Amino acid sequence: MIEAVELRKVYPNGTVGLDGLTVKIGPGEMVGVLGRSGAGKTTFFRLLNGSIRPSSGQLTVLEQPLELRTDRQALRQMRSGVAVVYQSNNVIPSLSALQNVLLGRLGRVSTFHALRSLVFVPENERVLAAQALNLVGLADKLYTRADELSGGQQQRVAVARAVVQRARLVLGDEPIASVDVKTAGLILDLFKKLNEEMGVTVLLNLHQVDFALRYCRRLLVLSQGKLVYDGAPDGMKDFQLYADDAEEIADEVEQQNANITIR
Amino acid sequence: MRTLPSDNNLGLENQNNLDNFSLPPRRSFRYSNLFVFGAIIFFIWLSAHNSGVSIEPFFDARNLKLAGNFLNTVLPPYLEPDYVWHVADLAAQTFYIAVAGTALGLVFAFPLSLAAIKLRGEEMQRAAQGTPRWLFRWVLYYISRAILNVTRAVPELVWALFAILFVGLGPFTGVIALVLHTTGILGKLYAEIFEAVDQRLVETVRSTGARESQVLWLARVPLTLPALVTNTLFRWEDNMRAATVLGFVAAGGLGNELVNQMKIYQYSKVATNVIALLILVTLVDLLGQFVRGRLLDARHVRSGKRRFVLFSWLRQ
Repeated sequence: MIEAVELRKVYPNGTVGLDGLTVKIGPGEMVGVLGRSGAGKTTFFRLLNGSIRPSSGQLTVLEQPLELRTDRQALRQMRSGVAVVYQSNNVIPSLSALQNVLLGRLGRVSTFHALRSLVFVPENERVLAAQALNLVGLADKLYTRADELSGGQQQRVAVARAVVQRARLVLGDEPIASVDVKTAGLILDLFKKLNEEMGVTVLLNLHQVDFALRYCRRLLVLSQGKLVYDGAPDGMKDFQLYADDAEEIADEVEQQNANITIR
Repeated sequence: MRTLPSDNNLGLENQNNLDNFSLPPRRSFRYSNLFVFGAIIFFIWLSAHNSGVSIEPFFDARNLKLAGNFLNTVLPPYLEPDYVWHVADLAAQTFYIAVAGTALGLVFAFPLSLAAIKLRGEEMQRAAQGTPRWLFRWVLYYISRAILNVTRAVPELVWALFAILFVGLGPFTGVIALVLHTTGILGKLYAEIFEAVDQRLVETVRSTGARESQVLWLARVPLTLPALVTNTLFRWEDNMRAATVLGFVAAGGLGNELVNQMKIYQYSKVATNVIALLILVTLVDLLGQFVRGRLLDARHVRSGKRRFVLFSWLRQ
């Protein structure tokens, strides 16, 4: 599914985003990525989705090696298999929930088809979108403008978009960072559902450690662009979980590096 | 002990506990600001002085008398029904010139603006795009920017003088002049509006595997529609005025009649023309307000469930 070898990303301004990350994630996994701000979590996600290109190292996503990414068609194909749910800005405010959900199909349809969806959406696509919205509990919001939805509802529309996209890999880039605790649980339940019932590989970039421990079967901790912990949530018990702040955990991991296994 | 709020306390209990702080130092005043301010005032005065700006002529008894005489010849406006209909006809012609000029300008401006967008994101860089594609894109960018700059920089009147060479005197000359100038202005405006779209939303749509053309139709256009419409309507209003001025030289319509009557000192007929122009501009303003209002209010209108999903703002 994902295979990174000595992955390195240095931004044009000299900031090191990732510093030799080697990790392998198999199909059907649900992985949480923790680390303080600037640890390289978002860089990693952006590399996975082809928004940025690594400075060196190898990266294979969905069986597609990195070299292919200069080919636009290949990039498009790869991206259509990878859905991203950001912290915010997941929906186009002036489009309806229906149209936003159908954005997930853009990797597979023609420009004419996309243009037509501004005026007319065919029956089968409306049913498809309604099913996806039903899955996330927003069946009644099909024709609602996205900017009339609450923040949590917008995140759920983004999950529905990932479903319509039929993505094999879903990247949640801090998907619950700007919603309340109850909604956060609701959204993570949806990710879990995608993972367990549809076999989608899920990568979650989280700040709330308690959620990560509860939902993910495997955790990656990044610090300064390096992988400092890779393993089951149980292994994290070695650390004193006095804070539910991922950043402090990352510090803790660094300090106690000698005591734990690093793969 | 509770104190009442006053100018120097907040009226809280234990006001004393709030007083254990010291005010941070004030940012010092930059005296150079005074100099800059003075310089600006001086340049404004200099400009006015060199343009011969003066208030005296407005209070000169002789001038006031002349103005009074002029008003007497202008008022009342000439309202013979035949002539009013004639003027209405001419006003319609000016209106048509402005509409055709703006609409055609829009048609040319839109594709040019697309080529003139500076696309952001690492996938747009040379390494990701491959040199030929990247080069093509930038050549296109500079060509379209050049076209937009030239068409914008040359005023309508000058374009009209060029157009006379090809199509002679008449409304079409006016339309050509408006189209060229409007293309330059709208093209640049559209390009800047499209560029200013929130890059995070663009990335969201790109992340689904969308082509750049799909990003345009499903992100850039829906996000900027109110701004696009407002700017286009504003150009239309402005072209109304420009169409009149073009009439002075070539294009016929209201402007032509206005300047002709002025030349033969038929000031009451000039007044009729000016009133027609006033009505025309007001009409365009009202029309623009109506369209804009419909567009911007749509978000507050709860939409019913419809089979056809137009842009949400079109669903009422």
